[in-house]
Order: sequence, then C-alpha cells, then structure tokens
Amino acid sequence: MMLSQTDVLTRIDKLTQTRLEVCISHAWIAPHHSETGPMFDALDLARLQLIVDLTEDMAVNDDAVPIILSLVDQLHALRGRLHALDHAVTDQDDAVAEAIATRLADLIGHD
Amino acid sequence: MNTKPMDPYEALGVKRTATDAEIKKAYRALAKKLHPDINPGDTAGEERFKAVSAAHTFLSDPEKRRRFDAGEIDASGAEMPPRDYYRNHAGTGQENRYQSEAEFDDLGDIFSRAFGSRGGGAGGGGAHGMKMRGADVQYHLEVSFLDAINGAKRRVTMPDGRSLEITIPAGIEDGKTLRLSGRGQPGFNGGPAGDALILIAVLPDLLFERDGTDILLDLPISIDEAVLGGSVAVPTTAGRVNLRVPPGSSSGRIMRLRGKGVAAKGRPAGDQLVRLKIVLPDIIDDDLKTAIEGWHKDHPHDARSGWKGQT
Repeated sequence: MMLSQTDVLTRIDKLTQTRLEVCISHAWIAPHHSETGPMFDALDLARLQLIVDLTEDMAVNDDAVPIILSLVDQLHALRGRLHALDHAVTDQDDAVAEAIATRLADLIGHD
Repeated sequence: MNTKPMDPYEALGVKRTATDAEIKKAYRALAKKLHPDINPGDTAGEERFKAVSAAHTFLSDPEKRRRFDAGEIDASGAEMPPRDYYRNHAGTGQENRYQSEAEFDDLGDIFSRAFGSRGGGAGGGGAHGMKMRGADVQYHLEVSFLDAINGAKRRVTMPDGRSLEITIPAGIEDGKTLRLSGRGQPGFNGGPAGDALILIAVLPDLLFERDGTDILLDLPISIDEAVLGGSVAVPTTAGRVNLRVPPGSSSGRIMRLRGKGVAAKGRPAGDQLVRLKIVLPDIIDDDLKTAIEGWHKDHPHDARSGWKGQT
C-alpha cells in the first residue's frame, strides 16, 4: 500500500499540510520519493499518527519529538532482539533453557 | 469490543462539571501514561487508551456532551475509527528502516557477537563512531508492465536535485527493491554514502498478465477460426508472432508460445500462454442461423456430455 500526500492528510484528521512538511523536513518521517512527490506506506502512516498524538494530544513540543521517536525506535529494536534471544534460548535443550531462565531470574531479582 | 459503553467522565476521571480545559488536561495526563506506542508490551493498556481517547473525543464535542448530560444519548455515540499503531509495525521483530541506527555494542559479549556488526557491511563506523554512513534514500518508482518485462532505463530526479539513472533489469517483479550502492545521502567524516533503495511498482497492463515467468493473454477468435483453424497474429511482450489455431478449438483452450514469456537474467525464459476465447459476431445473420440449424438437425451434439455438472 502506498499513499500520496493527499491520501495521508485525509487519513489523519489532525494533520495539516504544513505539519506534514515539518515532519518530512525534520526527517522524523522518511517517505519514499517518487516522480509525483512523496509516497507513504503503512509504517509511515502509523509513525505520523504517533507524531500527531504526541504533538497535538500530549502537547509535546517539536524539540522533544525526535528524542521520543529515537527512544521509541530503540525500544522496539531492543524488544525485537529480546524476542530473538528468547527464541534462541527456547531452541536449546530443556536443561540449558531452564538453567538460563533460572540464572536470569537470579540476576534480575537481586539487582 | 466493549459491550457496555463506559461513562466518558469516569473514563477520564473528571467531574461532570469539569471545564473543557480540565477535560483536556486529564486526557493529556492519561494519554501520556497509556499511549500504546509508549507502552509497546502492554496490550491491556491499549483498551484503556481507546476508552480514554473515545471519552475525550466525545466530551470535546459540545453538542454530544450536552446531549449526554441531558440523558439523550449514551456514550456509544463515540466509536473511534480503527487505527493502526506504530508498534504494530515497529514491534514485529523485523527491523524497519527507522530502527537502523540502534547500536547494541555495549550490551555484553553475546549481544555484541550476535547483533554487534550490522549494516550490511557498510557500517564501517568502528568503535569510535566518528565516521558515519550516510542515510539510505527510499524511492518509489512506477514502471509499465512492458518495461518490467523487457527491462528499461529511467532517469529520475532525487529530492535533493540529483539526477539518477536507474537500470530496470528485465523480468523484475512488482514490489522488488533495487539497491543502488552509494547513491543515497553522503556520509559524515569520511564515512561511506548510504544507498538509494528503489521500490518498484509494476503497473497492470490492458492485455497481458504475469504468472511467475509466464505471460498470460486472452485471444479472441472468430467462430470460423475455431472450427476451421487458422493463423492469427498474436501480440507478445516482444512484438507480434503468428499462432496456428488448430481446427476445432474450444473456448478456454490454452496454446503455449515457448520462450515468449519473461526472460529474466539467470533463469530460463518462461512461455506465453494464449487462452482462446470464441467471440460470435455482434449480429447473428440469417446465413449463420440457417447454416447452424441445418448442421444441428443432422448432428445432435451434447456439449455437456461427460461434464461434471451433468447429472
């Protein structure tokens, strides 16, 4: 699914043309470029919606937006890697997985 | 879905006499706490956030608030349109293009070994992080069906004004991405430039369809060609060729033009599959009618004998 700038403005109520341009020029959003202007996929749309929620509903100012986005992205990347680690541990023999889980609980519990 | 709509005042934790400013303030405080993208692992919180957002939308509408206060409507008037949260994309475990900057070198041996050196060999930043690779640039390029099959060269202007020549390889499929190494944003402090990522969207064609390496085409033939056979000029993605229609061809018969399909590099060329479609004249004149009636009288033919739909 690829949306044009007009599609995005219709989809997100509180987003104006000016604000969309701010999001792009600050590189908070990196849409695909095309011969007819920027094109947005579902990931861009959801990210724009998050930015609108932050700035409109939660009154976050523009200086804080990139910090929040960066933290959110780092958090997701970290969660993705934790999921991968979980898979890797689960794939081990039961005894190994069990030992890791016990040790982890120790480390987290006593820290 | 909630069966019973929640009292919007209760959802926001405000009095019924709350001013607009107090409602907004209460909503902001809750939104900051409950927003799904700030709580990626909390699925229960999403329901609360939805309820809070709905309540806020509801009470922000003076008319709805008045009618609710007057007991004219219940809180179900404020159904939020379904929306898609960023975490649904960012939290899938797949890396997306906004996450490419995250570094995990300081997380200990196992994590460094598994996740440390990433970036498709273009990292090069080293432990000091002084040299930085330039960002990738995404480009969405629509190409015609025939250009996608036969290959083409396209010159496009990137947002920074640079002109880029893109070679579209023959046989490229819809949704494929071409990576032009080093054609993205310049690097910092001597770091390498990023890549240009060209996402290809293949436009549909009026005549042809694609199925893997085969090309499909519907070919209208006349009733006499179907009965008597004949030679018909057929378009292919590389120009016209003559196809011999055998005598006695039914609608739906598929003729194979070997090697006239998609010829992508490194793969054997596919075929063009031509599906015959008998088309009767717009007006059935007396000659045709008489001829068929005469034939029918002496030649009982049941087109549906042996057909599975025949009981």
